Amino acid sequence: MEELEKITIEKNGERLECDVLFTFDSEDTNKAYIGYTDNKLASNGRKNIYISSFDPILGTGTLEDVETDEEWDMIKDVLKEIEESIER
Amino acid sequence: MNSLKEELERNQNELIHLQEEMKNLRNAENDMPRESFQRDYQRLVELISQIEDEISSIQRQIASYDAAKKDIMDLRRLRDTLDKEEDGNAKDEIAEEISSKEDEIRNFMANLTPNTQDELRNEIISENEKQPEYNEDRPVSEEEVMNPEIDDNEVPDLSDINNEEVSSDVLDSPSDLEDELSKVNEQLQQSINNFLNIFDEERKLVDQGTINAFNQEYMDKKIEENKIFEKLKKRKEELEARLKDAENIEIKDPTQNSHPLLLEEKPRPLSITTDQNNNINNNSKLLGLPGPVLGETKGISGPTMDEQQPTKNETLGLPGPVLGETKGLPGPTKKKDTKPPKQKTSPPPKPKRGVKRIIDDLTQGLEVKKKDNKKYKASNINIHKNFKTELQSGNYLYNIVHTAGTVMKVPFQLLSKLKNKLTYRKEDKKRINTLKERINNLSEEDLMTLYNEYRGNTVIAERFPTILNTLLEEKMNSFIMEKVTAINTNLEENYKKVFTDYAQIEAIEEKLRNENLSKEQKDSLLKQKETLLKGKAKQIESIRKDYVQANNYLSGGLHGFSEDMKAAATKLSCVGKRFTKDYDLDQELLAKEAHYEDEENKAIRTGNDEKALENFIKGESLLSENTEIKESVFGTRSVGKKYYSPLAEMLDYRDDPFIRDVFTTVAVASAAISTVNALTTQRKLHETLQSEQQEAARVNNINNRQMDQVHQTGSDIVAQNDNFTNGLKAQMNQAVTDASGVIERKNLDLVDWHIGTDKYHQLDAAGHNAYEAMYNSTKASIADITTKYGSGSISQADALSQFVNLANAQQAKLVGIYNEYIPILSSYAKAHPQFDLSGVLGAMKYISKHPDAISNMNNSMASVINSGESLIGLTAEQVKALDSLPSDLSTTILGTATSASLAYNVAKNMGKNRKTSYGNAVTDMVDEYVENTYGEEETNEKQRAA
Repeated sequence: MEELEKITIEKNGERLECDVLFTFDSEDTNKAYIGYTDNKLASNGRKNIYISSFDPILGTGTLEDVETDEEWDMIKDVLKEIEESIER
Repeated sequence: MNSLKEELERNQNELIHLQEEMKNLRNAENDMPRESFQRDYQRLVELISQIEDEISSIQRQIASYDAAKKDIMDLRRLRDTLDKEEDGNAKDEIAEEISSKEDEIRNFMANLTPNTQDELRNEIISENEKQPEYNEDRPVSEEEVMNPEIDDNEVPDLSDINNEEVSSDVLDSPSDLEDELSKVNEQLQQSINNFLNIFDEERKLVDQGTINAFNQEYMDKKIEENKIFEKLKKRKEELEARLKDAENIEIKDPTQNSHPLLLEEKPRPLSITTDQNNNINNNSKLLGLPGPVLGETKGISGPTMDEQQPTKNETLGLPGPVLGETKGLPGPTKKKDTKPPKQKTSPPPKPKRGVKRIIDDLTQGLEVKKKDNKKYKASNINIHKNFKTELQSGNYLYNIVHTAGTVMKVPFQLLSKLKNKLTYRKEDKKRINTLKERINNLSEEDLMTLYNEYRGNTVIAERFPTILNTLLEEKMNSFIMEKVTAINTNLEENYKKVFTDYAQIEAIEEKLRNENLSKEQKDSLLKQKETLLKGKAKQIESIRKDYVQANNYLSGGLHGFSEDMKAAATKLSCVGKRFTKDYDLDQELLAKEAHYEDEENKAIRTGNDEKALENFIKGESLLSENTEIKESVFGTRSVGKKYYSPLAEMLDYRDDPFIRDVFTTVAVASAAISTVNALTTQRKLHETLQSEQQEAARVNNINNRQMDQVHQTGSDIVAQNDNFTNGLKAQMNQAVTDASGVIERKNLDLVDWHIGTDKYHQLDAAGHNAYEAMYNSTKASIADITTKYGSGSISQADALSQFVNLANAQQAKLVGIYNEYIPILSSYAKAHPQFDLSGVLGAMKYISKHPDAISNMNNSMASVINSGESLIGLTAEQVKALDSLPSDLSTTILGTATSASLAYNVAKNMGKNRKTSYGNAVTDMVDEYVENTYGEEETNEKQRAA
């Protein structure tokens, strides 16, 4: 995924360049998901990871919010999977 | 049974009486002398305790009686079914069930006294007589009743039963009633346990003050519990009676000519009116209300019913029935099916399935893989290498945040790239959907089994692929939520009822405050109020219980289940959680587990201690064998298919896994595994031995034959003992005779055969004295040895040895005489060439030159006899026993000189038959032992010589 390292988003009228951290798909929702960060630290000292979805079939080029609890549960599972796959 | 029930009732009345007495005593405590109170109190406590024990014993007998009776009836039905069943597999299942029933009956009967057994026997026979369709052609003998395996061919003929005999007042099926009865029995048992718990608590108290305080608190509870108990008992009797009626109906069903449960062919002529039927149908709309209302159903609203008409509600998985006189709302009733019943074959009652059996059946033929969960949830997870590096560094923690309200543009190539990655395989999806479908089709009983048993450490230990847990959790959510929804519906109804009634009661109270009311009006209002109040306590109790139950389902049960699934998904409690190895579902391993679980459950059900233990050990060992903990670059980690952890732990996924790994999990797992490993090793050893048993038996057989031969040889040799002894005696006498002859000849030769000379006379006299002394000495010695042996003061071997010594001494004397005579004979021979004395002289010279020849021969004879005795002492059993001993014990035993000498002979003989290395471990050991021992002796001798 070297060619997909960065994406540019618009947030509150401001353009932000973000690093793509991971992507995955789900047949259940027929969506693809992307995790990215603007590398800014939140007040708790942690980096924010944003998760958005998009419709890979339509290819509108627009990222959308994650809407349902089921989607969030799935995302948590993926994050756990990512964490477990990392060999420290 | 009646006698037991009477006895039980008598004891229960006595218990109530004693409890009342106790209560009175407690009330009078302050008015009576302390000592007197304590004495009476102690007496009552002891009496109550005795009565409780007695009740408990009778209850057990009654339970066994009921169970045995029910099983005997079931057995008859099963045999009938077996006879009519054509499917081979089904036949096998039924046959197995019959066998299981027979075992159960034996176990139950063992709990009954001989008198009670007789009573049961008579009752069964009596019932058979009442049901000619069963024993018309072949009466059931007493033996058959008590020994159900005697005849499998009994086929009840139901073809000639009078249709009109069908009872009209039984609406419930036997299976429903049995379920109901089973619940009541459980509640009865619980009630007894409650009693016992109260008294157990009481017995712990030693101080009078605390006892009194306890009584203040618990006496009312005891009395209350006793009331519950009484109600349950009545309920039980009622259900039993109804069940009996229902069974009679089944058996008497005229519609079919085969199975007693085939009720459905023709409509039964139930004597129920149209109105009643309508009422029943109306009642059926009330499904979801609390427990069954049986017997006295006197509701204040809703349809009224004939009091004789028992009703049954659909419990929809709710907790047990409300017992006793429930005089509130009429309970929901089961809709009466007036359509002609369909014919169906009644399958034998199936035992409850265990967790592993359920999972095994669920996954049969499906390859459930470790990655399935991700496929189900998500796929094609791609992680950017920089992110990986960052995660590995551990330098950052992250917030996962929404992006609400943000419209973002994404480069087209990202979308197209990802689009190509939606690559699910249809087969995978199909497989998972099949599994999902199977889970959705699980029975209520199976789901409850999973809900109750597949949790906590079990989930962690089994380490099934996560997809299974995910799907089960989904199903469990909907399953439990259905229950909770049903309870909530009940709660809602009950709340409505209670509040509506309360409003009406308040209105009545308001009216009653009117002083102008006539007496009739007042009475009428009071009656209305009383009616409204009736059963409120029960309704409120039901509300409270339902509330608790619903919360248990949700917070404790379902929430706990989900937490356990989460814990399993994160491999919580597994050593090296992050790096624990995942596996696809091993169907073969699961099938084994399920088999052991089935067998264990069956054994527990039938009370087969040995089988239960055997399968418990096998199951535990299997888990243990498949648990593997390894040291790796990541530290200690679980790499086995299972994670055996038999001790219960609280699974809290918030704990730091590494702390848990080090201090808790490893310790628990290690301790348990080492225990089971010991058993496993023992079992493997046993299996190895079994596998070589045949070869070992063959070799041992040859060895045994060899040893028998050795034994026989020994016997033959020892049997020669008398011959040797007699030979020695003869040899001694011969030596004396020879000596006398030689001395005579010596004397004559010395005097040149001048017999009349003085010198001859002197020599002759001395010679006579010498050989007479020799003869007398020998004779005395033989007599002495024989006497000693005869009196048992010396053994046969000792006797022989002494004979040998004696014979040797005589032989030595003879040789001495020969030596004296040889020079004289030589001289005489030269002087008298006319006599050829060369033969005599040669013989004498030979003996003289070999003085040990005879004594060696004698010694050898004794030695042979001793060897023979050793051989006789070494029996085939000894060889076998030595062969079967564990090596260390053999070594110990073989450490003794006696065993070593025996074993040495064994080793020599067995070595010839050695075919395999197995079976000769003892031989090898003996060889080694002998070699070492002899080697040591040799070394010692050499050292001594040096």
